[in-house]
Amino acid sequence: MLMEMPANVRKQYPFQSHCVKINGRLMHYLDEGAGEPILLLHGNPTWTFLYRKFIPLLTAAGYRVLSPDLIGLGMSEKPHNEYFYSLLHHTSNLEQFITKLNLQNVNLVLQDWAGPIGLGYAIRRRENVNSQLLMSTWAWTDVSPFHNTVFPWRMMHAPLVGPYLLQRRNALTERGLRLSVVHRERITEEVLDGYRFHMQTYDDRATFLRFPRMIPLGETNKENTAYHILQQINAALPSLDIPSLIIWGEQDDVFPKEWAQRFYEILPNARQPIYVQAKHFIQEDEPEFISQALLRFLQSLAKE
Amino acid sequence: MQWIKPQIKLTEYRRELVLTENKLDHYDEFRQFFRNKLNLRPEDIDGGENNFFQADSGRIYETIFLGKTGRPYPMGVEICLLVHDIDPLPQEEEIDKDLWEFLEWLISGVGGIWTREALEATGSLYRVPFAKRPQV
Repeated sequence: MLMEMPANVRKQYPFQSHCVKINGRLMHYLDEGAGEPILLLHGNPTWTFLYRKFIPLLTAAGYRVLSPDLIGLGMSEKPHNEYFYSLLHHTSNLEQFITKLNLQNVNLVLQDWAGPIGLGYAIRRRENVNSQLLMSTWAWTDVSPFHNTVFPWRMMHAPLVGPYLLQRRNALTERGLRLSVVHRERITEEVLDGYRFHMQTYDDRATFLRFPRMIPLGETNKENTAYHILQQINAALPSLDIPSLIIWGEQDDVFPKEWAQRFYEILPNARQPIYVQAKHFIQEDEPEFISQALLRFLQSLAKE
Repeated sequence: MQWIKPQIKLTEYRRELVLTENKLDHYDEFRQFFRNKLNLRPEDIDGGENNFFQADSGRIYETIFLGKTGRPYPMGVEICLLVHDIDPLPQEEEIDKDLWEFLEWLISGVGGIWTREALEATGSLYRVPFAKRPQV
């Protein structure tokens, strides 16, 4: 169920919508500008709205900017059956999206769940990836200190507590976004309306719950999480020689800033991490800085 | 809240689905708790009795446990508010208050790392109005 986009959301998101059928489901995406393709990929509980401030800056610099909504989020189809939401499903959807649109030499921008999804693509289709930007994400099976806590993390998505908080009370949107930025004043009611827009019903919001439940819990419950797929990605990282830029929030309490350094040490062709005053939703904290850093990075690659 | 055998004519009530859980085994101690507390057996799927609880508000909820082949039982649960005849659904906040009581009962029962304090703190963090702010 998708209502008409309210005027105050449309004003912040003045882009042309496109749709393509991917693995039998309708995927919504943005496709702005012309030039070398940059793919802006989001995680949970966000959608392409997260990149609204990046798009004009990147297109103005002569790039084609594409941004798909993950199946189950944004304006993409939201099947209400759990089988559509594994990490492999999302990775396959990305692969099909790039293939169907015949995108060559893509530049990936990855944050949160887009990290494992995009890296899952990159390790399989190395030849089609020109560069990647990693922000507040991970690609291994060990659990971050935050994901080890009962309060608030495990309690927030525990059986029945999770559906209550994330589906009935929409807690990630109504509260979680503000908790995960440094500049809380930037998450105005108008911005929140943008995040409220894409998930308006109890059933739709089940997607919010599916992502945290895929995060490995250490050595327990491996079959119910993305443990084995993350293990596979992690094993491939040392030979993934894609030019990589790493930007991380100094105050990131979901994926600690030490993990930026960890990516830098594992990936064979990564630049020194850049740290900014941000938390997990780094795109809301520092959109202009990150866009400019990405442009400088891409321009430096073009000269090599 | 308390578990009851409702003294009402169920045919005069409709079930309004208010909370669903498809992965009781995400933390398996939750599944085990229900199984032990309510004496649930896989064969109950085929004709067993359902369970009902009454919130302090007086509203009655039915818990319907779900099974899937190849998965441990119970795999999930649907919680339905029983609403008389064509009466309107109560306000969301009233139902949320009842369900919060249910969650407090659940967490207290599961125990171990799952403490009431952690539930109330999580609820407070996410602005659940019924959560009791932890005393620091």
